[in-house]
Amino acid sequence: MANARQIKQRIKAAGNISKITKAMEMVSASKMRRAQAQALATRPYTKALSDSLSTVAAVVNPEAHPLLQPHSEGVDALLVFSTDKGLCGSLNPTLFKHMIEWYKNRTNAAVIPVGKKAVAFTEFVGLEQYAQFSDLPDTITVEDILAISTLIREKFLNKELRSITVLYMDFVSTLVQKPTLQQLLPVPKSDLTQLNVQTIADQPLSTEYQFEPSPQAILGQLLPYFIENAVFQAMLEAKASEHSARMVSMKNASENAKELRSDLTLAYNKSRQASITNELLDITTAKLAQDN
Amino acid sequence: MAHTTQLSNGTITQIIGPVVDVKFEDSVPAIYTALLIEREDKEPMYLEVEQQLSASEVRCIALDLTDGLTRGLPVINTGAPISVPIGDETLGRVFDVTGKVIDDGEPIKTTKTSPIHKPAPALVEQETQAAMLETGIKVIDLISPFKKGGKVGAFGGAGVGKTVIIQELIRNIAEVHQGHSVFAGVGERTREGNDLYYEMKDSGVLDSTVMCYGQMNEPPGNRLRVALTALTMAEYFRDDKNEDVLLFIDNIVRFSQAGAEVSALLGRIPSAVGYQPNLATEMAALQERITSTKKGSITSIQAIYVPADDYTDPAPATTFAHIDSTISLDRRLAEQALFPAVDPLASYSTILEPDVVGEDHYNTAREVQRVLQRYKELQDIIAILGIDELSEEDKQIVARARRIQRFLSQPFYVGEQFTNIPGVYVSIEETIRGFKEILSGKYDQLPEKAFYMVGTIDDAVKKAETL
Repeated sequence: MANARQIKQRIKAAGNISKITKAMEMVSASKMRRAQAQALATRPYTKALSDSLSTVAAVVNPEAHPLLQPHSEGVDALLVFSTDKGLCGSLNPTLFKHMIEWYKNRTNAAVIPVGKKAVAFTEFVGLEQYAQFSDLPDTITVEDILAISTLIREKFLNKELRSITVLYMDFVSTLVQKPTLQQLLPVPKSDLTQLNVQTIADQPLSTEYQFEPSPQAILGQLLPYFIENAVFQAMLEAKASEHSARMVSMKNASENAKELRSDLTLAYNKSRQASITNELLDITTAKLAQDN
Repeated sequence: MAHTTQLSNGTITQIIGPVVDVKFEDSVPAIYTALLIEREDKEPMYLEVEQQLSASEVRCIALDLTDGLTRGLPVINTGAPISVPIGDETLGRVFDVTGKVIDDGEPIKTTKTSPIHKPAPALVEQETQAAMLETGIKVIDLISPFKKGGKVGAFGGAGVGKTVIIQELIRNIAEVHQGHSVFAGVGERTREGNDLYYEMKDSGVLDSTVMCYGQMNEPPGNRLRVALTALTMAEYFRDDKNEDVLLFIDNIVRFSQAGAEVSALLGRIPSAVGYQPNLATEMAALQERITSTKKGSITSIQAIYVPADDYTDPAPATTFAHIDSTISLDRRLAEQALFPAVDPLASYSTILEPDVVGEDHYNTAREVQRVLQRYKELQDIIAILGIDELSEEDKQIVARARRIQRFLSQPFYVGEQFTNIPGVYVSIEETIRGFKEILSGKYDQLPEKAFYMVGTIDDAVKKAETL
């Protein structure tokens, strides 16, 4: 019966795990709704902001602002939005796979991990870390990401960083999230012109803007704000993805645990019945032998 | 066997399968005395006295089939236990339980015989030396190293590869080993016994081997005694020639099962799971004789069948206590085609100690076990949450454990005709180096498949290039 005791222990362990995963599934489901709503709600604003930026950029000389100018000093940085907690399926491993891919192709690169998982992973595989952020709240506000956006902007301006790219899980739907690499600084030209073309197509060519104060001054205000907002949006997408992925993976885990439990219970009952049968046989044969 | 006619002869009074009662007029023969029945157009058959029922009647077990016997048949009292020929003349020959040659050759010409029942060597005569015996099988050398002069048991359910391991060990040890070896086939397939005979003949080790067969075709009385016959022949080399002998027994549990078959017929009340009540005594009487003395040593390697994969079954459980090194064969590994299916976590050896096998060997073996143990613990978590939820350290452990599991497999010489992969002999130094390097993470980038069914770690690297 030593074997039966082990099975019993495993049944109990699977039961305990399924309790946790069930609870996590519910918690994630409610957090997911909020995070998804938040991410979706800010998307139009982010788009409008990009549009405005490109409109402005179309009329000013791009060389006019340092945030638009590429320079060759410093390191390439990758801002990775991972999670603080685990149990969200293949979300983090997928991110890390892209991170490694990105890192491998560069000689002078560093990673800025956001979230404990990315921090631990970069330390484990020994990637260069430029800075790290963790323990961000579940409900993100702009203040929470100010530290990040300020850091990258200033370090880019004082030429410690050559470029900044963000890597996050773009929220597509509850079941689908896709890893997205997006260059943030220097603000890529193609990004601007592409948007520009769209805006121009949408609007009559005759429209003329008058800037007050100067376009440069506006750009000086707009660009830092654009950076801030882009980081914020990436963070929101990452959060929405995290909670969706967690809910789905916890749902799967609960089902797996249930299946494992039923398999183990069957094995346990079989072994219990076998030992009962054996004992019965022993008693019966002993009785028969004594009667003879 | 000389029998004197002065002793009074008896007559059969009852025959129940393999158990025969014999009545004597005046005095009854002593326990373990061999009785002889002459038969028309058949070889004479032996009975062995097990119980004295009354002042004139004894109960015996038959060492041959009892069909054709009738009540009232005369029985000759030989006045001595069954004695079998011993000596150098036994080498290269095949015997049955009574010491009769069964390989179609000339009858053996030796004057030396010895009774198959003997007391075990006394405490003061026994000696143990702790030295390792290399087998060339990676998993065995690493996890469950054999002790020279010790007892090794290969435990396993039906069809997980006990006999294959025993035969590979015979090939690897007996062929390298300069001394003599004795093989006892107890209640296993007759075909396997035949295969082994011809294989040994081909490889040339037959001339230094004695074989005793009491296979599945034999009645229980025969299977109950044939191990003793082989042991008696082995004892000659140990006690008279002061040699280090190898004794292979396939399969020791058949001995206990044969005992169980006759037990109830002898009138004993069945004990747990229907086994004979004297199971432990019977086993000890055999096992305690297989030991190393000041004169010489017997290194015995025994296959131990585990009925229904239940290690708590009294027969294997009783045998466990006598064994120095355990090789535990696991059905789950056999199902994954990881041969030899030795479970590295359930196998152990009393000599896996740093001062016997060396620090390096000991640490590597323990580290391999630790990694595999961790993998086993993680398996439920992987089943529920998926491998992605493991920490990076655990993922690495899982990856290495899977490589180790595959590297523990090895192609066998005796399996060559089935697998088409030539067998390999791996020295213990190579084994330790291979596992040490896997543990260090040197081969984390090689595919798992490269480690499957290869010999040394260099073979794995070479295989990886072809994948």
